[in-house]
Amino acid sequence: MSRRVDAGGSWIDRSKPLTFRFDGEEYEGFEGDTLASALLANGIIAGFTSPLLDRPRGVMTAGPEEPNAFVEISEPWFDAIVAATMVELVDGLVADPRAGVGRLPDAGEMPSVDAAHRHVHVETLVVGGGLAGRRAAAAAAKRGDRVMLVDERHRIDRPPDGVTVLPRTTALGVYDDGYVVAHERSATLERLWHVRATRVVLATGAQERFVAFAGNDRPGVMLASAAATYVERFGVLPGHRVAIFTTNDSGLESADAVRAGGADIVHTIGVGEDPSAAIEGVDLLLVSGGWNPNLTLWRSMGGGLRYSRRLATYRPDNVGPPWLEVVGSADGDGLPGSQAHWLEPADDYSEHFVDLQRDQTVADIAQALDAGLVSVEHVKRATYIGTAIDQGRTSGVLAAAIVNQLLGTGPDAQGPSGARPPTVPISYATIAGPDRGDLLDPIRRTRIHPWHEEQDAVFEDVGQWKRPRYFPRDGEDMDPAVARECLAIRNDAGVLDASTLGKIDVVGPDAAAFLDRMYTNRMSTLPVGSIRYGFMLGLDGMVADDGVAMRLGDDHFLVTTTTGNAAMVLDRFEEWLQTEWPGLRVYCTSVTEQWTDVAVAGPKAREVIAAVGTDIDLAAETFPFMTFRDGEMAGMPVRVARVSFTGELSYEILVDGRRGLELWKAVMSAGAPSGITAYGTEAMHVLRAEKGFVIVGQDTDGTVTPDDLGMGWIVRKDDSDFIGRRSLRRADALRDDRKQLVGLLPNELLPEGAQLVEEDTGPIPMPMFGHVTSSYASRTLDRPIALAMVERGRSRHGETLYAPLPGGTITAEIVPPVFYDPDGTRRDG
Amino acid sequence: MGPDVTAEQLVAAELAQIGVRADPAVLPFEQPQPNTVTTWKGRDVLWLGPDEWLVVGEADSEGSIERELQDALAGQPHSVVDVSANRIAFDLADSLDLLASGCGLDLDPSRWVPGMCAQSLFGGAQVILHQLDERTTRVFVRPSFADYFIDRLGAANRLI
Amino acid sequence: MLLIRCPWCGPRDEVEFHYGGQAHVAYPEDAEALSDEEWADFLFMRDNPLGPFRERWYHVHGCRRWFNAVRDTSTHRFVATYRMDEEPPA
Repeated sequence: MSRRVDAGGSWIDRSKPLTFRFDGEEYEGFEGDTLASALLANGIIAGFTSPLLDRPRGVMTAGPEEPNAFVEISEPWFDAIVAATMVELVDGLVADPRAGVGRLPDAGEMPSVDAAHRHVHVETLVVGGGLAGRRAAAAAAKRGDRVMLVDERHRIDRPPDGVTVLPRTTALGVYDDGYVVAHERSATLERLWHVRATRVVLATGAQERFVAFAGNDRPGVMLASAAATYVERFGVLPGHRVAIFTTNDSGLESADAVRAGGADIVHTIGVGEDPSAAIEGVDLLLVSGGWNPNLTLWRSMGGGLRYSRRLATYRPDNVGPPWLEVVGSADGDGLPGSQAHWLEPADDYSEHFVDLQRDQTVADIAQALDAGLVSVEHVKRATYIGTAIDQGRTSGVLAAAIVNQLLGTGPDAQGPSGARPPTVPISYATIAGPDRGDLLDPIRRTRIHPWHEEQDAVFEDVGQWKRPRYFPRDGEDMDPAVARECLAIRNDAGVLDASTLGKIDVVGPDAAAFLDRMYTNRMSTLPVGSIRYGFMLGLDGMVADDGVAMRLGDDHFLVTTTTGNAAMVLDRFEEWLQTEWPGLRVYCTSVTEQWTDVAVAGPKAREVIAAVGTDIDLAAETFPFMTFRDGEMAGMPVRVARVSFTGELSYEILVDGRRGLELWKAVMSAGAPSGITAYGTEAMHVLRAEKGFVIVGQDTDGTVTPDDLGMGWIVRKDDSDFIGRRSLRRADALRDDRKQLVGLLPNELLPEGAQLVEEDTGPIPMPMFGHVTSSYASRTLDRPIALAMVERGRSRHGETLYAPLPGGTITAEIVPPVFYDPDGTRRDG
Repeated sequence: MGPDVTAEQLVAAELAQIGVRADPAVLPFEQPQPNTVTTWKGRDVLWLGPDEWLVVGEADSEGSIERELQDALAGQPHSVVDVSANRIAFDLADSLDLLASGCGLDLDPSRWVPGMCAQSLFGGAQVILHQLDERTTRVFVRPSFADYFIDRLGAANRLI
Repeated sequence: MLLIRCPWCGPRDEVEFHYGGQAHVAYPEDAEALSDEEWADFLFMRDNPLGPFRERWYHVHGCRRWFNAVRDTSTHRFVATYRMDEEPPA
């Protein structure tokens, strides 16, 4: 039965009918309708159910405060849950009722949400396109401001000139310093606006208040102003035989509007008469309990409230951030005075609904108070009033007032509970926008990455980098591939893409003195052309990073960092230079990606480099370990460093990043006769563990000193200061029961992280004496090995520890952490 | 939904880039105001910080720029570093809206005008932006972020 | 999201910055001369006032300059930002 009437309908275009589906049935509406107005026009007065009590419910409002009429939209966009009053009707819309709880569709069942994101800066942002908002926007535009006006409704009447006007756009949250996130949604567009505004004007209007009486949740009970809106804007008469219950004059005006639409007003009920008695005799009961300024956004920024006896509600106290103001009826302006009437007295309050979306009644509030609660915030958490997705727009003030009344404290004792963004439900996909899937976090690739991909490398994430973990051949899985790569380096030659290591150019008259302060060992005594391995500590004395420094000139160094700490180390350099030692004449520049780093390692490394072709004399006597040379290789300018992370003869070649791939290919092709093998991070880890070389961040965890690692030698003993030095004398750093780095020879492969105990059986919990930090199957040694941090570990070599695990206990002998070539005989080839 | 960013819209620029750090008083070029660009012998000088600039010249001129700067700053504490390979430059046409999908700078053409530069973030990537003329924005990004940058720009373009 | 006025670049979004803790806590002239208690006090103890607080910020994704700020911890409002070589506002 159509309830469309000839009167009103200023928002709809009766010449443009639209077809939509609701709950499986097809209906018609008009362009300009909301889903709610179209449902009412089609006579759907119930159609919804309450979430907990399964009571029938109908459309109760015409705006974002709607507590009943929630739908899932599946065509032409997807929205898990949204108020039908806020859905613009479009042709082909498909909606289904949802009892206050959204549903996560199966993957592929619904079109994916693709929200654009846009940052924008304005001098004035106005939230709300009513009269006050339009006036504020027009005034700001006249001043020359860039102005944006957003309104959640799909239509803004008489938009002001010179203003960016965004209908269908909901301000989800207002944040510090005028940062506002707003969600724009139409049938063809979804966009999240990140607005930075010098001034934010909240013209968010006011919402009519409900009153608690028996049966106030029944279909056909509607806010009076909502019924007037349906008549005037949509030409829909929500009922023919109508009663009005009002505490203020605006209810009578709404009733007049409904009458003008063709309804009979059969009862006019004031305070003192129970409206529930009137429900049976009418098909529409209008309720007006006064008006509440809509202050969700104001309150979310910490704005306060004050009670107005005239309005019988709360107005903003105008004590908020200086850039935020509230205007118009949101500020209480022009609202009708109202009697303070919150609930209809009764013996049984179990059907006096306060929060319809949580199915909570006055009886539930009374129960919470009986239990001893006195704070509105506690009552909220006991009853969940105000916590549903309508954010308690119709229930917040009412619940607070009822608490005050039941406690006998007077209406201004406590205001409504706090408000937080988002103001309406928003999907994570919308918040993520383009930044999801592969774009969730940047994926960084080296210049050699295309070659790695051609070789079907298996990659692992190292920070944001994709690094080849291993290069499988002929269907190999990881273990045989890594074993093959390890053997190739131990017996022939391997090549690693080490480009991800951080590199910092440090230059200036005080560069050496500065690096002395940053590293535990002395960099100022390093000869030009030489390289030194160094540890960097935190102020707390714990190992923070390691790397090497190459001395390029008296006042010029190139420092490397671990892959993951490149940014941290440069930031730390800048911090000390700028905040503590501005007098030091030192300049730091990141050159991490200026250079591609090709590391060739193995007994045949020299043969490979010679075959690539270089003017650098490679003899061990003239180009010794821990030195570097500048020269040419394969026609390219290079810097070659003799450092080794595998224990084998090793050359790290730095070349201009733009020619990195070219050099890599030259090495692969010239090295082929020597059996050169590309290897990944896994083989690198195994080989370094065989040599007992630690990885900062794997074998250390921010609680480990150099001495704990058995590397006290790297800490200089003279009286010059370096970062962290004083902490190495703290009592905790000198404890004799600290965990120390040891090697383990387990009877089978240990999982990393396994805890170590002293007894293989016994009551649990057992005292834990350490944990495994690195564990590998060593192909070189043909047995599993591990590194571990163990209490007093260095004095316990030869002892046995146990790792109790779900599959059984693994036994491990404590040994020194260097498993392979302890005398370093292999590093010169 | 728009298409991917087109080749006309996104052009990789081959450039020489030299990082300079020194006391502003000893510079051989006019010091640009913060977040602006000046020119020096036909090269752009981008302000990166109060004692840090990026000199941008035509491709393969890094050697000569570096020598000129080293000569001019000899005897003064300074840093002159070839960083030509440390960042990739893209020249983007009519793309401020795309950049505004992932960058919080005020890129409104009434405020962000030719001759301005800024370091900021685009999505998760650090960028240096330089507005060359009304239409063209030059974006410097680390090479390891280049794929991400292009993909993120494309995603913005498809959604815009 | 805070809007932070870098003394060099002007107002920028908070995401461009790193927080650097309390300002004007100088590294000791002679750390070795400090007792364990004095060193621990420097290392671990910082003020935590409700109200104006002098703190350090780093424009990490911008000009990479450290600077100081006075921020009201009760409102998040920045009272002032100033360069490392400038005196704090009275």
